[in-house]
Amino acid sequence: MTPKHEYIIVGSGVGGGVVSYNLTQAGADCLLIEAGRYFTKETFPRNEADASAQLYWGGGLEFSQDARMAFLRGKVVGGSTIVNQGLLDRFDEIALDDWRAESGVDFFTLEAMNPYYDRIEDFLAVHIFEEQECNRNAQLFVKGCETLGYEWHFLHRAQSDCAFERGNDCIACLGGCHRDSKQSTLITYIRQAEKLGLTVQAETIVERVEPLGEGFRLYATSNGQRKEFECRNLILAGGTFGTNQLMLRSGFGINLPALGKYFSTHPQFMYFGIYDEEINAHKGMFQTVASKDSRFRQRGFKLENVFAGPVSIALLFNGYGVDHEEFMRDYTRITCAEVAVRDENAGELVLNKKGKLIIEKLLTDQDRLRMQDGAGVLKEILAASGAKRVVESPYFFGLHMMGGCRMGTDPQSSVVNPEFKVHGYKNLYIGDASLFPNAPGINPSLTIFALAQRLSDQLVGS
Amino acid sequence: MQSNYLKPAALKGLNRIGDVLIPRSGDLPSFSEFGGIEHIDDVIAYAPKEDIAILNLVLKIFSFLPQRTLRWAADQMVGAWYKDGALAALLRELNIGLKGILFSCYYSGKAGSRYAGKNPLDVIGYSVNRVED
Repeated sequence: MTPKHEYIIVGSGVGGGVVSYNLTQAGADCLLIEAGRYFTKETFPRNEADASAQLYWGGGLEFSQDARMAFLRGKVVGGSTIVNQGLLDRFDEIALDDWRAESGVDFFTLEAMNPYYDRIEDFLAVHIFEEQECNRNAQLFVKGCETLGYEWHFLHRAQSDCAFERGNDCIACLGGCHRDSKQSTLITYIRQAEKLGLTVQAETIVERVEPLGEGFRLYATSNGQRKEFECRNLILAGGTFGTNQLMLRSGFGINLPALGKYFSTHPQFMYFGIYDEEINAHKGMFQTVASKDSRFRQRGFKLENVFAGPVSIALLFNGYGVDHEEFMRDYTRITCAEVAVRDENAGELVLNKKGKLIIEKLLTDQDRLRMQDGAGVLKEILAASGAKRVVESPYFFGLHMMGGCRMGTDPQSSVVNPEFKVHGYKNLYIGDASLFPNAPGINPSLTIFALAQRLSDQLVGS
Repeated sequence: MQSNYLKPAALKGLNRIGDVLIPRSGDLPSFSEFGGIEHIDDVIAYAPKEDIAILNLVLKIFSFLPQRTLRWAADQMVGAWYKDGALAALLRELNIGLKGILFSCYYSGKAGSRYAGKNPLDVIGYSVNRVED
């Protein structure tokens, strides 16, 4: 006999965390299922290699079918909010107007979204970086922008107390924050929900779901054991890959022609500047600024100042032997920035015969033009800030996986309706970035939070 | 050394391709000298089973290929980024997969039990200060 829950939420990242908390607070019986392990600030891995192996799907990286693009997604209670940078940006009119036009959903407006953004920003601790928090990597990026007349801004990050003034190096929190400062859903929503009665089922992978009367039965594996769960209402929030894979494996594609389609990912292209001076880009607050130039926005790219640990930096460099050694000896004299492209939603997620997710994602001509445009600007910025040479990584990354179950009014071109319900199913909801109609060209986290809050309000109200 | 995931021939192959990609250079040890391979299970324990099976096969081949052929293979993997087709895609995936494992062993800070030289992290100047309350 399997227990029948009022709600099961699959996935504990942004969407799953928010919805679990709100429903539990409202008194609902909720089970939150997560494929990854339950870590705490004391147990998060303490080096880059262990974090990569233990906190990500695929033991580190996953690839597009042509293996040109690598994807990173968290597999841990708290999802990608454990391993991402916690950057929070509101969408602008450009993004929401495009969403509204493509989906027919009328609440994709600033007027309708702002109250949700306000609530999330009130709930989380949000920090706006200041000049004294910029490390040398950021200072040089700003210098290059200002020399060339490009606008930039300080980033907004979900963090409470990073102990910057006591010399903490925030790069370590890409493997889970050891201070409970970064506002992951684990420390904000999920822990609070657990106190209110939420059950968290970690290390459990839902393989398939099946409609059962007005509810659903879930077939899962947990540490090699088969498990089944039942619920009246099912909320899928396993991220774009997780939700699409589960929907496809469960056969929903038969009635939903748009399932798996319209996939986008903001491909990110990395560039290194090599300087004569010591930069130490991995020290202090390692990501504090980004471009904020309306010309870049119109041209479909943005530039972000970033860095990573030595395993990742070495991986991004396409050389070996002496070339690798010379590059890595310059580790403390390297700056790094990325071009993030607002890509067309031309990708598709499908299953192979074994049920494995295949990610078909090629750059379109427009994507390439935007990348080249952004790269040209970034190289100018690096040169203007004193870089003696620029190294380009051939790899590109997808960190913002979006679409495949997009929201819309037309069941032929969308998967969920404006009430977050899967077309044709009464109690099946989607609450993650897979419902994005297209790529906004802006960090998606805050909007996933906001949409999950809207879904929560709707469910609690009902 | 032993691994719960890689067979002895694969471990030998990993050290051999590792030394091609990360040879000894001044105070930077070669991949095999550093001995980070002793911690290989920490790196691959969470990788999909099918990936580990492929890795065992590829690394077993690397265990007996001549050094010159290993360097040729490394060149092909690097060059695959600029080519199209299914073979190039396979080489790209192999390239980033292998380098991910090698660099994770090499830049994890965890040396082999018999290594007494400088840690690569110290040589490149990487240190992280964690302020934990």
